[in-house]
Amino acid sequence: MSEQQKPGLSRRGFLKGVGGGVVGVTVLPSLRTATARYGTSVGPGAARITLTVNGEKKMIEVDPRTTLLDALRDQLGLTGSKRVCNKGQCGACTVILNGRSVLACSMLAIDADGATVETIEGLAKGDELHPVQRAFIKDDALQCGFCTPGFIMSSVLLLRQNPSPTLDEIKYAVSGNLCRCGTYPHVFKAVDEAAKAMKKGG
Amino acid sequence: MKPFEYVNPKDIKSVPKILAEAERALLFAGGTDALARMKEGIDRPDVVVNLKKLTDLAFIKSDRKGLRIGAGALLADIIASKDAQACPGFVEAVKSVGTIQLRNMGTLGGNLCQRPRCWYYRSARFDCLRKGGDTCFAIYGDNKYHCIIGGDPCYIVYPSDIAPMLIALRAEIEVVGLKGKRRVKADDFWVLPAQDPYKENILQNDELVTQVFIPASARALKSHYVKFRERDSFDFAMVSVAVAARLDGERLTDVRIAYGGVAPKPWRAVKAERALEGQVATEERVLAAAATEFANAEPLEQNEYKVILAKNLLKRALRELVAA
Ligand code: SF4
Ligand code: FES
Ligand code: FES
Repeated sequence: MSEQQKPGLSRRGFLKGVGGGVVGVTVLPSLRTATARYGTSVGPGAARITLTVNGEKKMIEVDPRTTLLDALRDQLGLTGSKRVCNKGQCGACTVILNGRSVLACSMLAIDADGATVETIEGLAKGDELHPVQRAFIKDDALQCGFCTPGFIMSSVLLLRQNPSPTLDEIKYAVSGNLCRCGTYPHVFKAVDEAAKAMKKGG
Repeated sequence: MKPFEYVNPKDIKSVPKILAEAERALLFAGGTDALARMKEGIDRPDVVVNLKKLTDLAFIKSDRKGLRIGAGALLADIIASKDAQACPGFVEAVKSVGTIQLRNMGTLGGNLCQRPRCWYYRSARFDCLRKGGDTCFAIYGDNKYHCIIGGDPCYIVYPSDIAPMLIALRAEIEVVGLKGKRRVKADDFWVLPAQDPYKENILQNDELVTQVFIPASARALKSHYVKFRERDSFDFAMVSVAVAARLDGERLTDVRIAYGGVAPKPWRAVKAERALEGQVATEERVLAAAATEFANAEPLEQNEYKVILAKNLLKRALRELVAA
């Protein structure tokens, strides 16, 4: 999924990029003028953004190239969301942005300006883990654990939208998360048990 | 990644002007594909044009004339929209794209303008033909996922799931550039490498896709999308097929068939359509129609399986279409 791009530019850009010594031709000054007429812009320097992360308002300065994932991990110290493929192919970096699951590695931090972000760090209440987290531990729904924060965020969102999911609904809800240790059956069981525990008010 | 200026254009009309004035600009909506290409260094824009804040690109509307969807509409919102349900095959195709997370981020326009998945293309280490080099590495390289028809000089497949369905539904794509608007048939939007090996569609340097129009006539058609992938949870199609037709008793009329995963553009199977028009879709007839379509296929060393798959998927798609 993705973007349209100015056709032909990629090629020209590529040629210039491999031109060795002649790289570094930028046209930023004239662009500045252009964008002032046609809109607003940030960058190439740092931009200031505000995020509400796990209920806390945070103001940070980010280079426009920074992904939301890197901003969370490197600037806010929230290393729970994992950087595994870093290209939208595994789901380990899944966070909840304005109530929807997204891949934090595949979006720019500046695009999250003003947004509400929920990460794995925000699930526990003090020392008390979220029921989904507890069920993952009880049911051994992880081995190496790299995929786990992503699976848990997808599962938490599912149970928020659908408190009594069927097995197929559980499978579908985590279908965008990969586990190379193959813990899927345990994940499905954990989510099912968490759903039941949450209904009992656990 | 190279530093860039991130621009929020004030309206749609400003986008072509920025594209025309900036030397290396990149349109950026959901950004899931564009960002991956920027990280890899295969796109090195000076200016990234953010389309997400253009709220008049993000609409889903239906009226007497048909369904109109803005290029900025999120795939997840299209799936959830009541208006889109009138074309079930279209919703199936949108649902089969990426993952839940990616559909929460990706847009319709982005899906239609995504760049190829060829791994030589995706790696900055290969200066392949599509990126301005002289060689297509897929011809003698790893070509399991490449095209079986319409290649030469580049053997990509066009990866969009939605594109073949738009062709089957006779959709049109609206494009805006410096000279104003134009509407293009989905069937004419994508190009083969023989026409232009550096881009996948007819967009000019100053143009962007603004909306897709699915005519009301599509509501009277049955439509269905079948996607075959190596990993069932999420993946790009190895081969996929979009079918749309009217069912007149047992007979198919107004048949439209378009494939994904077989050619550098979504491949309208005109010969198969002709063979099936007005006919009862018996298994033999469908297989024969697909065989005619792919009689001139030229599979590469590792992808002959796609010819068989393409025939069988059409059989399955039409059987399910008739049964639905
Ligand atoms: S198939 Fe096209 S994109 Fe892939 S290596 Fe060949 S020229 Fe490049
Ligand atoms: S790290 Fe984001 S999808 Fe893999
Ligand atoms: S537990 Fe190792 S990747 Fe899932």
